[in-house]
Amino acid sequence: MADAQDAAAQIAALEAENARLRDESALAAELRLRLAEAAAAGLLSVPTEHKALLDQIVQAAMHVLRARAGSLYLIDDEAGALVWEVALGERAAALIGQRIPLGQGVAGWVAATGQAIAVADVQQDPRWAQDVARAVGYAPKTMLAMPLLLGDRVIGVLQLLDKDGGRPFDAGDMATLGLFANQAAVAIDQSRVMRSLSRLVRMSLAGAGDDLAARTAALAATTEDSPEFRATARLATLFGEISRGGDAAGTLALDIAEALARYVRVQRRY
Amino acid sequence: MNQNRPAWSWQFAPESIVRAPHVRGLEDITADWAWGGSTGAGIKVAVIDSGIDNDHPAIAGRVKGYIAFHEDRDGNMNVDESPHTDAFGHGTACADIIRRLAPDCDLYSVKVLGPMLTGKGTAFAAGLRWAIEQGMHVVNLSLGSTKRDYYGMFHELADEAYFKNTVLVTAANNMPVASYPSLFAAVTSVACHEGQDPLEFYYNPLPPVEFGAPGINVTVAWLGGGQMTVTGNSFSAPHIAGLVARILSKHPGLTPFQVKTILRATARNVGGET
Repeated sequence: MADAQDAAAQIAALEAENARLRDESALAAELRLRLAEAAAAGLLSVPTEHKALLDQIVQAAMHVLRARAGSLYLIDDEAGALVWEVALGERAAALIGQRIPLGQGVAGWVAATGQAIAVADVQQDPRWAQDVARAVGYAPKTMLAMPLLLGDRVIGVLQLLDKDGGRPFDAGDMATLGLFANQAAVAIDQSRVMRSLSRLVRMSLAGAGDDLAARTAALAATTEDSPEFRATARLATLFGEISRGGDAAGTLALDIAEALARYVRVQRRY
Repeated sequence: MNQNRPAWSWQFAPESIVRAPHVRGLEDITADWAWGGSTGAGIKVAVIDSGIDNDHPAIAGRVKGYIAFHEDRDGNMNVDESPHTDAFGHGTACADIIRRLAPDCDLYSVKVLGPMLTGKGTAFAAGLRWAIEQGMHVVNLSLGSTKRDYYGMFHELADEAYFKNTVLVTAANNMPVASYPSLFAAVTSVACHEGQDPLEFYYNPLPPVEFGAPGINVTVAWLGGGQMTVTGNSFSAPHIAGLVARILSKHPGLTPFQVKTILRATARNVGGET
C-alpha cells in the first residue's frame, strides 16, 4: 500500500515536471522568435538598430511580466562599470550612457554575483531607491533584477520595476525573466558582433590599414571561436584586399555583394 | 499550479515535495536532539560575500574577524584584514539570517565583492581558501562563479573543506546555469521555498540541490541599519548555515556527511514529521 502511494506520488511529480517543461519550452520558443526578429533587425547594423534591440528587450520583458518600468545595463569590462543602456520611464533619457561602478547598487550586485534578486520594497534602501527613482522619474516600490548571462559570462543586467497590481515580483517571475534574459543575452551578443563586423567591412573598404588590423584583433579576442565571426572576418579581409586594388575594384566588389544580399533576401522569403 | 520558480527551487513547491523514506536507526534523530537548546556558541561561521556591517542592530557586534580580497588589474591579489563594512547589504542580510538561528555564533566577514568585476572568481576562491585554512566550522556561500575555468579550482577547495570538517553551505543559482561550487557533492546546496518559518526545511531526494529553506519575501537586515524584503536562493543558504552552526555547537566534531545525515533526518518531508 505504501509502495503504491509512493509510486502514485512519483508519477504525479513526473507529470507536474512534464507540464512545467512544456510551459517553459513554449515560453522559450515565443521569446526566441521575438528576439530572433529583433536580432534580425540588428543585422542591419546601424547603431540605432542595436539600440532598438535593447529597447525592444526591455519593452518585451516589461510586457511579459506586466512591469511599469525597466532598465538594461551592459558591462564595460575595461572600465569596470555598468553602462546604463536603456531606461524606460518618464525622465529616462538623461541617464542613458551613464556609468555605475560595479561595486554599488542592486544592478552592481547582480552583475558581480550573477545572481538574480527580487525586492519587495525598494524604498527600504534609500540609496538604491534614489538611483532607480532618477532612472524612471518616480519612486518605484518593487523590483526584479536579473543577470544577462552569455554562456558562463555576465554581460549585463535587466531590471524591472513595479509589477502590475502592486504585488512583489515572485519566484515564478524570476524563473520567467531568467529564460527571457538568456535569450536576450544571445541576441545582444549577436547584434554586437554583427555591428562590429559591419564596421570592419566598412573600414576595410575605406582601406584603413593598421586600425583595421587592431580592430580585427580586438574583435577576435571578444568572439573567439565563433564560426560566424571567422567567416565574416574572412569576408572583411577579402574586401580589404580588393579595395587596395583601386576604387573601381572596390565598387565592383560592393555591387557583387549587394546583388548577393538581394538574392539572399529573396531566398529568405521562400 | 505555479510551476515557474527559480532554478532548482521548483522541487520545493508544496505540490512537488517528494516524501523520503525514514531509515530506522540512522534517522531516529529528532530536531530537539539535533539542535534543541543550542545557540551556535563557539562555532565560527564565515560569510563570503559583500562584507558584514557589524554596527547593524541585527548583527549586534558578533563579527569577530575581517578579511577582504581584491584582485587588481595586474592580477595581484590584495588582502586587507582591517575592519570593513558592507558594500551592498547582501552579506549583512546573510549574517542576519544566520544569527536568527544561531545568535551566539562567531561571524567572520570575508569580503570578496569589491568595486571591480574583474578577478572576482579568484578573489572568491582566495576567500574560500582562507576560510578553510582558518578552520571555520561553517562557511556560507550565497554566491558562486559561473566561469567554467574555475571548475577545477573550486572542486579542489570543496573537497579540501570536506576533508577538514568545514561545512560549506551554498546557494544554488536562481537560473538554470552551472555555478561553482554550489552544486558539488561535497557541499550542502540549498534553494528556496515559500515558507517563512526559519526552521522549515526540506530534503530533496532528487539532487543536485539537496535542501530547501526559506528565501521568498524574507525580511532581512540591509544597509544603513535598515531592512529589505527580498527573494532569491541566496537567502535560503544562510538558514541552513545557521542551523548547521547550532548542530555543531551541540555536537562538536561532526563531519560534513554526519551533518547532512542529521539534516536529512530532521527535514519536514522525511519520516513522520510534517
